[in-house]
Amino acid sequence: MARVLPLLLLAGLLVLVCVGAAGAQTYAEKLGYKPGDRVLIVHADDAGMCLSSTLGAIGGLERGIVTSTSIMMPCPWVGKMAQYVREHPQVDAGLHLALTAEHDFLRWPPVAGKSAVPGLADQWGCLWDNVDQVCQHATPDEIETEIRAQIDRALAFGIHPTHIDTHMGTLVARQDYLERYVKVGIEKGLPIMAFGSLPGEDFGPEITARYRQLLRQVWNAGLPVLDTMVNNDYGWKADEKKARYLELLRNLKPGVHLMIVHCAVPGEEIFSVNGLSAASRWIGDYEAMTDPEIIQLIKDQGIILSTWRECKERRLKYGKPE
Amino acid sequence: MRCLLFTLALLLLVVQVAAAETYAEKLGYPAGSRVLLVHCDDVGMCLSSTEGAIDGLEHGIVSSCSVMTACPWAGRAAQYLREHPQVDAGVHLAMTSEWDYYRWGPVAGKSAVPGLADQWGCLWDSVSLVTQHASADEIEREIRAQVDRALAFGFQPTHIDTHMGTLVARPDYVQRYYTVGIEKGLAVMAFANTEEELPSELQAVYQGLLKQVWNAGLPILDHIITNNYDWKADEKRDGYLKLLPQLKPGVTEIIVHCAMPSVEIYEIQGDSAASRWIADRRAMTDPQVKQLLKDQGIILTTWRELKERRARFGKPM
Repeated sequence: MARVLPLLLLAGLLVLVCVGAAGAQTYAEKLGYKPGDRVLIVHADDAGMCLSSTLGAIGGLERGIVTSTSIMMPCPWVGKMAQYVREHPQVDAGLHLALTAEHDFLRWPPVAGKSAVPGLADQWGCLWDNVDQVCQHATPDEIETEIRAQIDRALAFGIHPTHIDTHMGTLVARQDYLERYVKVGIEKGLPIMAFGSLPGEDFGPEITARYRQLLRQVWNAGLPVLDTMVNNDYGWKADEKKARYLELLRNLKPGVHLMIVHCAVPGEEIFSVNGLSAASRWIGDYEAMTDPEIIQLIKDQGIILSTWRECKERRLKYGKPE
Repeated sequence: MRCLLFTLALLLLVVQVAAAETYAEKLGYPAGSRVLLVHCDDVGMCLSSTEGAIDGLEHGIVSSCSVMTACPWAGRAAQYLREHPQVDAGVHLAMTSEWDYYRWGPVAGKSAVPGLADQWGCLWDSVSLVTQHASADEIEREIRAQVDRALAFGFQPTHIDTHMGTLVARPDYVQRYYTVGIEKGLAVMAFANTEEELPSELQAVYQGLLKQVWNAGLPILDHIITNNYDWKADEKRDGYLKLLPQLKPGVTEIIVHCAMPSVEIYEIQGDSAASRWIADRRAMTDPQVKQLLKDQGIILTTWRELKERRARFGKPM
């Protein structure tokens, strides 16, 4: 349930509309892929959050179709993920900027420390357990301070992030948060979550124009923009995951897509963290991402797997100012 | 003549020492009583140590525990304690975060206590780094933040103790630790017989502190046992079976670390410590160990009971 939120928020704020008339150039093409190419970044979220999600992300990268991951710097198992990334510097690993700590019994505090960002901390000194509370309490200055603290911690851990994205969509839940997120990404040359097209209704010309302006800003700063994000797979039931991924991959449209998955290796820990339903869906994601039929389908369909690192390189090599 | 007097004086002293009242007696137990506080450390540190402590409390001889409120799973421990308010639970004051890949930071926040944080904003991974970097003021601030967090979590701690012994590693830290305990009426780790547990330069300071603790209305225990930590996993049960009959009269606290078997505990600690923690949980819930405790007439107690006994039976020193 928790991960459905980002989509709604994105739809609400980063709004979108179709890129334009049919036949318009996809971002994949702008990034130097051939017309008609179907390019996919398979992105495992929440690495470092708990042990199961950390080992799940690593397993998905090593034995599955996962091509990229992002790490939650405020979380307890970040040291384990950092060790893996230091030993495998080719791995595409960004930061899953977390401004919430939404699980009941496994909690984490802001990296900047609660006295530096009091509006981000609940009564226990942990990050708030939902996006609404963040939006009510945290100033954009606090958000920016925490974003920078999380990036600095990654560097201290020896992680050179390939991108920065937003856990639970908090950073796209307020226009002023979004501006800070984009600002830091551009300043540090870190790709952010920017898509030419999102599923959703037409939010009208004003918001659409503002969003297109934002995309231009990101693109012209030398950062890649992708065509779509796929994250409705989060809510799929565990025992339907494999069949639905097979269906999704067969029907993938031309363009460069980011597909969000949550991989967890089975264990008592993930059930205690997430509860029965979400835990089984995360384990279902891990099993699907490492499933031989799915691995084969990617090949058979000629789907090109990509990474944020590659997209950024392609942006610099092929991209033209807009 | 002088020599004789001296010998006599020495003899008297020996007699007096031999007959010295134990703290158990001062706390109202009959002379000769062997009273045991079985204390499980590191609750809330990870999921395995939290569930292990609960198992030891519910199905074993564990009589008390303490929660690391700085750690990721403190919320789970707090939920259990809110639902079981009779459980004897303190705060395991942690100034270190000593496992390689699983870390936590100061509760006060690194900007409030910069001397307690390493380059990643976590607590230092060893006691010596803490004593090199953290001022007594920072230590006291973090102690208060960890106690406050327990209250915010909805459990009223019975006592405060010290993870890795950091709070007894510098005289000024001990002073702050005891000051907070006395101020808040929380029992602290204070033992009459500490020769193996404290560096010699602290002994004199410590004796003065003991008096202060007792006269503030807090209990003092006679003995502490911690060397069971290093017993090998497959020797734990036999070790406890051997140790229990050898307990001396007085109140003894024995420290255990209970963990449920899981990938998590092995990943945090490595094979050796993980298997010893798992073995502690098994020993604490072992039927033979439980039976031996009864057969030996050992009296189990808690910090809460000792505080009540101090208030009821204790006389000023």
